[in-house]
Amino acid sequence: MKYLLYVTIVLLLFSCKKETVETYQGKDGVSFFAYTYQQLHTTAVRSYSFAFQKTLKTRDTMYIPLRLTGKLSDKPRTVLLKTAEGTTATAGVDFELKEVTIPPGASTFNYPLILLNSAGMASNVYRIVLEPAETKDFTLGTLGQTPGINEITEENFRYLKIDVSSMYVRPAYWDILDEDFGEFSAVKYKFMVKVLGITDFSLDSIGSDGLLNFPVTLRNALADYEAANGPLLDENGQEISFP
Amino acid sequence: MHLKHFFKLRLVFIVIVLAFAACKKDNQSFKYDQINDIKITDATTSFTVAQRDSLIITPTLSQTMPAGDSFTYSWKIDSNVISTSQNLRIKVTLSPGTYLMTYRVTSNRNGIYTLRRYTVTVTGIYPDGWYIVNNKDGKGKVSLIRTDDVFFDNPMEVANNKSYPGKALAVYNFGKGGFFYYFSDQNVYRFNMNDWLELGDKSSILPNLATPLPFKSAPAFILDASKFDQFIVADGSLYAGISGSTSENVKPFTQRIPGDYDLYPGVFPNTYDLTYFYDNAKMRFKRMAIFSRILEDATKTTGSFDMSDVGRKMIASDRGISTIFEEEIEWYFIMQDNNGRYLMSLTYDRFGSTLVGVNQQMINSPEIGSATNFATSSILKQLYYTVDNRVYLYDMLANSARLIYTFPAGYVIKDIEMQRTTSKRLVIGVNNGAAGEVYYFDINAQGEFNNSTYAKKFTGFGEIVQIAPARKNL
Repeated sequence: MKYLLYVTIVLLLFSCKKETVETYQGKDGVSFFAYTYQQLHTTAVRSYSFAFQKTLKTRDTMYIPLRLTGKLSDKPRTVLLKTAEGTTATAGVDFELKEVTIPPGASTFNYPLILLNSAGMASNVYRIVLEPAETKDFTLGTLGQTPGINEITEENFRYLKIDVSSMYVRPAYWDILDEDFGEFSAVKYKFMVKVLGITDFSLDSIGSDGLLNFPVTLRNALADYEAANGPLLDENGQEISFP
Repeated sequence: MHLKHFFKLRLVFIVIVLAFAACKKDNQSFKYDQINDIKITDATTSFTVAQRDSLIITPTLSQTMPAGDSFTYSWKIDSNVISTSQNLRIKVTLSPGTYLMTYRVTSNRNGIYTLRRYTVTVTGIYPDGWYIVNNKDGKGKVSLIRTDDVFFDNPMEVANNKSYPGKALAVYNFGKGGFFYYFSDQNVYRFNMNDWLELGDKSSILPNLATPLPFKSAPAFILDASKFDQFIVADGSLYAGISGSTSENVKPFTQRIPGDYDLYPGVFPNTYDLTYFYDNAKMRFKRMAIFSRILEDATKTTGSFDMSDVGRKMIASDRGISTIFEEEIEWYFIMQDNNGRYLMSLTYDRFGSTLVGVNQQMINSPEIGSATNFATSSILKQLYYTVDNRVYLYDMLANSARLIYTFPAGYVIKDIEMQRTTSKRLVIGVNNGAAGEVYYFDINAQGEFNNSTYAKKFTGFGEIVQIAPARKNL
């Protein structure tokens, strides 16, 4: 009788068993990250010009979104980017890449790329091609598209291209402005800055109403300018206009 | 018994005791008492009330054993108790919408309760009716005649507890709900159409104007047929803006759309992607495509007239019929040249393309050359025009008009507006000196006024500038 009791008690103790859940094993990864609608994928080029800043700068920081794959960590970890084939800018002269600490628990992170306003940028556009470097904490993360929240597709990618200069180079976002603002030129850009008082004309900055309303303001301002001074010519001798 | 054996048997003993205690025989002996059965017997469980009005509900309770019982009451909307009285009497401060309200009556004798659920629909305090733009003692205001004929003299000052200086020019419903624009000669405002709280002024509506406000003459406002663009024509100039997906994210207007033009104060959404304007300087139609900010000449048309070269001055305009979702809208125009006045129209074909419509000189129409106000029917080929204190009915097909009503001498008709949803009511604002009055005329099947007189009359306004429907301006 007593053995039966003991056996029953023992069996009761072991009747339920926690199931083991398989978890990711391996080194955590890091990759570039963007929403697909931003069209900032591998083949896209981001641009930066010291000429487009409100004030004269000798250095500036471009923040680059990164996504971490693997397990979250409750400890700080370090991430590093390195240059890849196609880079024409010079590390330490045109830009700086440093190992950066990611705070505990982060799954995405904005890597601060330091851009230096070098003498060469006054007459050149340099390209920086970046990829994640192997560190003690990270290897290259998983790549490709994944469905995000609200059906907004996200994309992890390996290479990121950045054109940097201190010239008035056509910014990549001008593709969206072409129809409403017309062709880019340095003179036109300076005129826009003077009239509108802003330096960033990307859609994120000016919004859909700016996309439609600013050209009206610019057309009026240009008409006033022309009435007083005659046509405004760009650096190539072409007459400035807004469609 | 040896102590060691006692402990060995202890566990067995406990299990056996627990097994016996687990089940207990129920002798099924219940005690029944009569309770006070409470019922809420109201037949009406749905109420509609305007914001800031009082909601009063006096439920009828029936009891089977009322003697000696007392009750605790609660009225709840969601989880919020709004009253603990037997009868509900509150001033409604809820936002417009429909709410489920639960009334609970709990017996203090035994805790038994009964529930009743009510539906409460809260409308804006000023849900619908007619805006009457008027000036009194040199100061503008917008009064409201609510659909239930309740009159509000100056809701914008009451709601916002501030004064709005300047003379009133015009008011326009946004067209998507949410708010209306009020134009004075000193500013332009947005007001919530439900509670009339101010939402913004010229600094957010027309920022960075090349030519500063105020407008000198009454502007015109309307959404395009797609309802994605909004337009103001004021002092001959055009301003455009994105109307937003809802009234909450409406965007500011542009500066004056550049160009050499002098627009008639009217905007004519015609097809889904095209809105027309009329240049009284060059006497031709202009047009703007959806999301374009280029005002271009209308293209040449064949048929009854050439939109690119009309050669007449536009005097007035009003709308005719439209498709069910108002993606295509017919417009009538009164034009003038040295030979007289003309009725012209723009319409559309079944593919949603613009068509020129009627083009006829208005003959057999008394005083048409002096007419100042026009309103068309959307169900009959008729329009109404006024001269001083006289109202004429013009038959488009017969091309003739007749006098159908005369206000007393000294009255001057300032504005007339068709109730567009039915085309069965004409609203007329008249001024007797600096005192304004508003008349509702109900229209019979022949287009004449029922019993040849007005149905309702409202007095007490300042000098009327404009009358406008509170809920729709298309």
